Amino acid sequence: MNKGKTETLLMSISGLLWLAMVGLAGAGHWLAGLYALLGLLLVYGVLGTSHKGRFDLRLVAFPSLVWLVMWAAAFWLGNHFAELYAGREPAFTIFGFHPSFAAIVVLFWIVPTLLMGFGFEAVKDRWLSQERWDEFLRRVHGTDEGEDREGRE
Amino acid sequence: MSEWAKYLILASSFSVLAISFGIGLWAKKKVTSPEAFFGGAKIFGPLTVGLATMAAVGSAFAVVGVPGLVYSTGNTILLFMFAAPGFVFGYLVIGKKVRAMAEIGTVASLGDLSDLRFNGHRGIKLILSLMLFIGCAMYLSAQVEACAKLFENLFEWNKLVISVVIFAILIAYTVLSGEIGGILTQAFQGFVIVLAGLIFAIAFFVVTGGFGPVLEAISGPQGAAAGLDPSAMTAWGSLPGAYSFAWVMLPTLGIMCQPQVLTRVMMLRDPRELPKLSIYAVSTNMITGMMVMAIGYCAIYLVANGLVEIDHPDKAVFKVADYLGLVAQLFVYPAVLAAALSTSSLFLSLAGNIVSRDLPGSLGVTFSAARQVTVSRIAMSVMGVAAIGFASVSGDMVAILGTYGFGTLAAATFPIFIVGLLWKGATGRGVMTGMLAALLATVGGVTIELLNRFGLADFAWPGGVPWYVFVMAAAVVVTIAASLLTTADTLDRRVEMAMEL
Repeated sequence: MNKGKTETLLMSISGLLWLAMVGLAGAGHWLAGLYALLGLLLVYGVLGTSHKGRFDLRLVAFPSLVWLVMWAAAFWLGNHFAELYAGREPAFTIFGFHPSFAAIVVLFWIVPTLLMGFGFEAVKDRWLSQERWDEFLRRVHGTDEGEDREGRE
Repeated sequence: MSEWAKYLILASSFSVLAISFGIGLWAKKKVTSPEAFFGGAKIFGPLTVGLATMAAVGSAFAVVGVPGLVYSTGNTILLFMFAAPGFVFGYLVIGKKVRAMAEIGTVASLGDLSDLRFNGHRGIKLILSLMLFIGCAMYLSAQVEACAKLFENLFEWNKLVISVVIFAILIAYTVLSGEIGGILTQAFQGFVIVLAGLIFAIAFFVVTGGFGPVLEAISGPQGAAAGLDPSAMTAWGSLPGAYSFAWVMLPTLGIMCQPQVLTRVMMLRDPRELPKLSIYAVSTNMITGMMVMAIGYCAIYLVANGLVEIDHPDKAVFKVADYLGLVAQLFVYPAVLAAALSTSSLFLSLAGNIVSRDLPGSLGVTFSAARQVTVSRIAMSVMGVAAIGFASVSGDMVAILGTYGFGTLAAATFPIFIVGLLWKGATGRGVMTGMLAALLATVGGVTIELLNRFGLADFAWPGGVPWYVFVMAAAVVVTIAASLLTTADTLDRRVEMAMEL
């Protein structure tokens, strides 16, 4: 399958995931809707790495996929402890937080935020190298028909 | 609170306005062209852009609305504030493509960006302009509401008079230096918010002794006596689960395409500085998150222990600051004003851009550079009046108004800038159809909400999911489906290169 078709397939999947996500939430299954959101983010993550006919799956794996896995864990743990201690005081706390919210603080907020922020800096050259940007500028500011043809080839 | 303390707080708050005005004056010399005035200057580094973005995204919605909701319904709204990884994800996925588009032609507004991607499609630009205008009014009304609460708490001044005075000063400095002054004043205002955040976070631990005592207070008999719900402290808070869903989904997907984010990326000097920008934006965002959690939790602790009474959630931030004393008040009140001003100036500039450039452009009319600036000034004034009007008729809390604006803006921009820049198969006709669906759904959604508000209807959205989620989904799904059914457009080779970067 060529790249254009793969992009179209991925975008079509994203459309279905939007429907699934909102449909699940609208039907009362909001937690399942959150997991569908993670799938949707993954699709956008893959599409965002597209460069000259290729997707950079290593760039998807880190940091985006690690982040999404953490969020999945946060949702599961958050919901598990919220249901376990529904209507009563929790048997223990973490840093003084209700255990279900502690999962959110650690795995939804602090660790993934730092991971994404510093992880992005760590993969900066893979994401956009100086050479690739310079090449883009050279071609954009000097684009003429000849270079256009060359680019298409 | 003594009278002299009130006037000292007023002076500290107005010093934020005065310094912002001064920055605007200083920045005027950097406005060397209409494009620079409207946001086409790629001259800023990651720290300035990061602080400005955080301040513009944060807004009074965060500083006033979120603590109010934390106090009244618990942790649900914190999911919105904690979704900071979505910031970085947005830059990772779409940042370099947006910045690359700014190299192709003169890009000073979102309409210019849309023109480049969709070959000057007037219909898309027209609907984008209308949707952005509606979203701006909603977002601005949240800022109006927050400023009104601030001064009501201090002096019980008339809400309408307060709103008019604040907007008059704001418009004055925004029209002076346009987006150049806008980004610099927002960076300064971001710094004020961060400073207040650090002070509040420390004050929280001093007053409460940590998160454990807050949980104990709300779970004990005194919490029940104060009418507080212990389930507020769980992961999902005390609101129905549909809100947890909406308030995770909305910032995560919506932040990628918020005008506050897109327009700032276009002003960054070098796209390879986007990762640094991310670090500045998310670390300051984390401090803001910590601040609003601390204020909300402090309010719960103080009310549960009978130390403070809060009659309206939007007053929580001020009541807590008043309890903490003059030092906290001298930082918190200016921070609220800074948050409201930073977002308002951005959205006023955006409204000015829409009316003086994008909307006429979509109708085939072009104003001269001088006329654009005049029309922009008039548009800002009209937008200020619209925002004050919306705030007074909706009667919603600051945070709820903020989410309305956030959702509407995301529905307007997602089809064009996310679907459009990630997929060459997104056609002009497809996006136009998606945008039309978004516009109709937004008008329908707002109408239903207003009818419900005035008791003229009793419509419940499926699953209790907020209306703007359906609007966003409709916009995206219709865009994709219609694009699949229509023939692909021929793209400018340079646009293709930007999309493939």
